[in-house]
Amino acid sequence: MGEGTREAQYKDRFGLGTPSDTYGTQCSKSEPLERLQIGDYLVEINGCGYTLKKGGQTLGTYKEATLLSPDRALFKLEKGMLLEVSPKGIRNILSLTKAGIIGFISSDGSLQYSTTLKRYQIEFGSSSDELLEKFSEFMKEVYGISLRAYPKKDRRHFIDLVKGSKEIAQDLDNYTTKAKGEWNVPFEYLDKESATMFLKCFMSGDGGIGIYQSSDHYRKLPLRIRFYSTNRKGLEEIATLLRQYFDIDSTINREEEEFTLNVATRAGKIKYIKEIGSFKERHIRAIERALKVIEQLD
Amino acid sequence: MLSGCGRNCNDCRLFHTYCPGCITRICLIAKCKRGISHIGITDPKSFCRLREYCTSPDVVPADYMIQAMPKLKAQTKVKFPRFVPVISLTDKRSWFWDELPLPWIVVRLADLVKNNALMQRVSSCGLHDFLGFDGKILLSTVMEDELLDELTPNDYLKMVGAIRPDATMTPDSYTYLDDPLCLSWQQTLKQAAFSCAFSELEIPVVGLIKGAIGKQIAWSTEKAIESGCESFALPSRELVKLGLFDGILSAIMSVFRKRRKDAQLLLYGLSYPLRRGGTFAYSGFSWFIGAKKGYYHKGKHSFFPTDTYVRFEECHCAACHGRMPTQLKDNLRSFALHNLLQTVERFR
Repeated sequence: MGEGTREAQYKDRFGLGTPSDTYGTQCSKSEPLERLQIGDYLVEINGCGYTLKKGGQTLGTYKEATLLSPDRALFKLEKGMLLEVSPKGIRNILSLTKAGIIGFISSDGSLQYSTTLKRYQIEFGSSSDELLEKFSEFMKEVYGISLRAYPKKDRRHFIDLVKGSKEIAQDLDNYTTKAKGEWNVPFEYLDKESATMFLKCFMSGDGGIGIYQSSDHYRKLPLRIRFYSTNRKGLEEIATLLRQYFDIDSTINREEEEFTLNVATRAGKIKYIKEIGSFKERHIRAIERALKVIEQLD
Repeated sequence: MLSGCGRNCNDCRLFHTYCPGCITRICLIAKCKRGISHIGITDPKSFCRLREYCTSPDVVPADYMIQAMPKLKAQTKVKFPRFVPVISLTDKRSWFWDELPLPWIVVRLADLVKNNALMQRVSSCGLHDFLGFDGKILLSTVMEDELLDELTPNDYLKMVGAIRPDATMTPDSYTYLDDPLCLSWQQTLKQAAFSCAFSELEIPVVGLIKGAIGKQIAWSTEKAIESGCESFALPSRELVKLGLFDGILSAIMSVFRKRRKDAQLLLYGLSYPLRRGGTFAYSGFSWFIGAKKGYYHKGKHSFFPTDTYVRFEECHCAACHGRMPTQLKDNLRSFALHNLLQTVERFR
């Protein structure tokens, strides 16, 4: 390898290489203050960063770590990505905010990435202010950009947040198949925390958490937790995600034009509202009411 | 002449004769001195990868002498077809010689260097038996920088001897545009020194041309010709991406003209034709990488299978048999074969 620029090579391979202002910083070499062994990997901690080594070979140098323990370390990469180091190996995973962006786009958003048509656009539309704010906040944090808001004339208080950017669309296209037609769950880039955020954001857009008043069910738990989509394969992947990380069982049914994933058991529903939840006001109120009911029932 | 990093080029024996001096303002060390560092490379400063080139008074290490290249044992000209597919030794889904006549394929040495168990399996029976392929195999030495740093000329010879390809490239090196020129010179000289060991091989050797600037490229080409290489390869993907390909190509072609060399140049890492005529052969893996990412090749373009341009179009190639792109979505092997057939067709 090694043609082109080192900067581009580091960006491609390690998600590093962003320029930073170090004017006036002294150039000093210091011995590592601390060393941490994670399986075959060695993390050398210095006053201003971390070096990751394997078998004496330097794999990368990182400025920030978001988690550092003998079992697992997370290093901050560019564009909302993290490098996870564990005894099993290393892999890139989505940060909470980036998992949130993909969750929102998979539910009520859209992603256009076409090199032939030269269309590069990210869009998220909602009538809930709290979701619009959350999406803007996540985009600002990951890509450092502000989004333009377009109110939809034919729908009351419905706002579309839009950004046209080839770089961002290309980056997101690496982690979701939304631009190709149907959304998916980016399993290989998720850990438990980012899976939680993905589900939470997807639920906020295309989900429902509600208390129903049927007296028969009231004594059990009058709570309904559902995800809606026309993409059955995607819902099956959500069911796998719920089972894999949270041990929550669910069922998928067809309802007219779309499919519905229902969280099946009482224990599953309680686990969902306690561990995952939603950003949507209406859902949050339902969760609060449900928690009170659970307290009374217990 | 004082370079951007503060080093005096007049102290260097390569200056004037071979090298124009550090003239690039994108050099990472020169940028660091101006207060712009790059995370993971020159920042944090205590971990800086380029520190030794920043503080050392040497310009080019003295142990890399420019020596006369020994002549290759096998000075055979390799005639590549217009497109030579790269395959993965670790993924059988990229093996298509039963479906498609392939006179040549490229396998990557990096696949074997990274996987000891695979190396042992391939060494025990040779590449042809391992793959079940009776065409010709070119061994690509292009690999990641950290792997290159670990290998010695003897390692290359041992591996080539054990796996028995039909032709091999000379060793790779890393020559980045934004590295200080003394580092890219060091790598170019190292590559030439390592290539000397390949003179012992009985199989054809393809000269891998490397360099960050025109003068390094020309020097590398000269050395490959001097050693008796009759075929040449140029890793081109990044050069095309950065718009540097034409300049680099003209440096190579002018050396060919000067030395009256009528050689074929393999543009490694490109799967679409840039130039007409038989002077260039192409080699790439994007037909398979594209299939894995869900890109469907049609003519010169690639589409998502759900794109309205191709969505309802039946393809009658040997992979699709009248199926539509969306019907191939879950069958990576057919998808990849379709892309390979389209890529081969581009070069007809």
